[in-house]
Amino acid sequence: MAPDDVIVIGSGPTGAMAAAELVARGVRVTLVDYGDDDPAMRARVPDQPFSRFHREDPAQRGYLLGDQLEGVPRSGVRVGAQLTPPRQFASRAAERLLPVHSENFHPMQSLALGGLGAAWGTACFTYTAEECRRIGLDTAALAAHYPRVIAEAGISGPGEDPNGGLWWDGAPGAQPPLEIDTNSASLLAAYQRKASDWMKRGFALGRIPLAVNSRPHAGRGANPYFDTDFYGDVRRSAYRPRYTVERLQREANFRYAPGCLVLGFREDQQGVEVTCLRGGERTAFRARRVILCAGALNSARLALASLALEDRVTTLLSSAYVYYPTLNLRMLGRPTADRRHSMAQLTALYGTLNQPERTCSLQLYSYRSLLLFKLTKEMPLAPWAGLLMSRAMVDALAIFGVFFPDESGPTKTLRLGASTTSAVPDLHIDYARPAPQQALQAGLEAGLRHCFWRLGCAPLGRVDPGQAGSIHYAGTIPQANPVNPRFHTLADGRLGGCERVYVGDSSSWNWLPCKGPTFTAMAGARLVAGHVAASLGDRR
Amino acid sequence: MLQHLKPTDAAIKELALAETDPAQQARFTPLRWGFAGNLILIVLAAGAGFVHALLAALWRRVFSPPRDGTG
Repeated sequence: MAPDDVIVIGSGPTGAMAAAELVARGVRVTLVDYGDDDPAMRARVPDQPFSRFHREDPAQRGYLLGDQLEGVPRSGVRVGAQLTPPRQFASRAAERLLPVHSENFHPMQSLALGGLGAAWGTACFTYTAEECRRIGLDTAALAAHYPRVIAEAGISGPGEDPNGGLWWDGAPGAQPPLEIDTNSASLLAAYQRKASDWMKRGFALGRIPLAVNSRPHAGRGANPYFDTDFYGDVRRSAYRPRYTVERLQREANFRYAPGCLVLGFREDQQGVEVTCLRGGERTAFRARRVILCAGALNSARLALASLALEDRVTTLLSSAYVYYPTLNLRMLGRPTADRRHSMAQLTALYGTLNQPERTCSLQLYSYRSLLLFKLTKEMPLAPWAGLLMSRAMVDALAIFGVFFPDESGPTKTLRLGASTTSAVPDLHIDYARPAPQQALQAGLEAGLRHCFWRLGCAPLGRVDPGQAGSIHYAGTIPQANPVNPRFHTLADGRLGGCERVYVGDSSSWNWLPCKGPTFTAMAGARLVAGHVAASLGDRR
Repeated sequence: MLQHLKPTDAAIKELALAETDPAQQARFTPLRWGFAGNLILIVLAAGAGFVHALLAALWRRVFSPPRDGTG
């Protein structure tokens, strides 16, 4: 078989978008992927409102808790705890096959079809020019790809960000925003009554763009407001990268190669050879170009294992993440509408809003479909009392997930080690935020608690799922690497020291904003795919 | 300290099983008794539930056999 033009490694949000861009340009693409999936579990979730099947379905335990009760957490809150049984395949194979050793950083990785996008919360943000400059992205070039991501994924959101483009620049093609639930509507109304005062305090609240259809789009249905989004999505309203992979498989110039655990690549005069373990045997794919889209940790793992480097060490970025369960006092004891979606309802930014390094972002969730026993579990009360409190509070719970920006440095390192339990080499991560960064976070959190009270939300506690809890990782092969300068990415996405290998995911970022990276990373992947196509000689 | 007052894994498992049993849904429906009603309920449940959990934890500490096998 003749070598393909391009091999894309990984089917996550960036891999799917890079492949889609290349296929649209007539490039022959092979998507090499492990591709773990669990369609049988997904198919068990009924296409009904949560309240209905929760009341009636005798089989609900299987998909709400899992057949082995794997959805009943046994210890404290941890990274990935939000994955319900139908979504646990997102990290299942990776826990076994992608070993990471660390005292203080326990990331969630994925070998799933769709990568971490299989469990993505679907929040979409565009970045300001200042944020793009810090990351190392070309703002104008990136913006040209937003409409293409929107067309592929289907984004619903505010046409214009009322706060002046702080989190969404009104990229064309977005669908109308999804309806927000009773709880969030009461908070937004309270905010809007004094919006200018809030802005003076550095707090901006509004609707969040989501990669969820509010109307049918690209063969996928609109969100039915069943509040089942954490479990199943029969109508495919929320974008998952596997939908793009499925669509591409109908194209003549696309080939999907699942079941491959990629071990490394080797560049020569003719192209690049990618070595994988497939069905227990080593196999190789060849192409003229390769794009690494294996996620920040695993793109770095592959590159560190494949390049001739003196030091197989690099840096990494990860947003700090905590969440605050609060009680929206306006809603206490009041009925709420059953009709709602489960994704984030509102978003907010807080801090010095024109200084992205001194700003944090918030996503507001209501609570119901994650079940009351998980609330009761966290209360230092007798179970009967915890359950009673949960029942009294559940309609009024407003959960604020808070993300902080991150910058690289010598205290955040990722080192390649020998293979021990898997065919791929182990990663050893040592991650510590320096004192000034911790102080900045503490100051922002103190201000936030004050904002919660002013908004009428009583904070009930602070939950820290640990470092890496944001599942936002980046910067492992940055353009400017403070830990290992030779290990870097060039401005066009090419891997430093290589002619034919490109980095298509957020590994190449120099800095990580507080706002979720997935949407911008998808646009960035299309941008890099455009550079790759140009290097081949664009065919369309 | 507060960690010891949280429900045991067995109690949580029992609650999880009950919450996914259609026959027991009445135990888990939201309570909507108005602002004052729910607030009073929360305060009373928190107070009584805390004392109950404290006594239960003390009981376990005093009367449960050591887990290291020395008892």
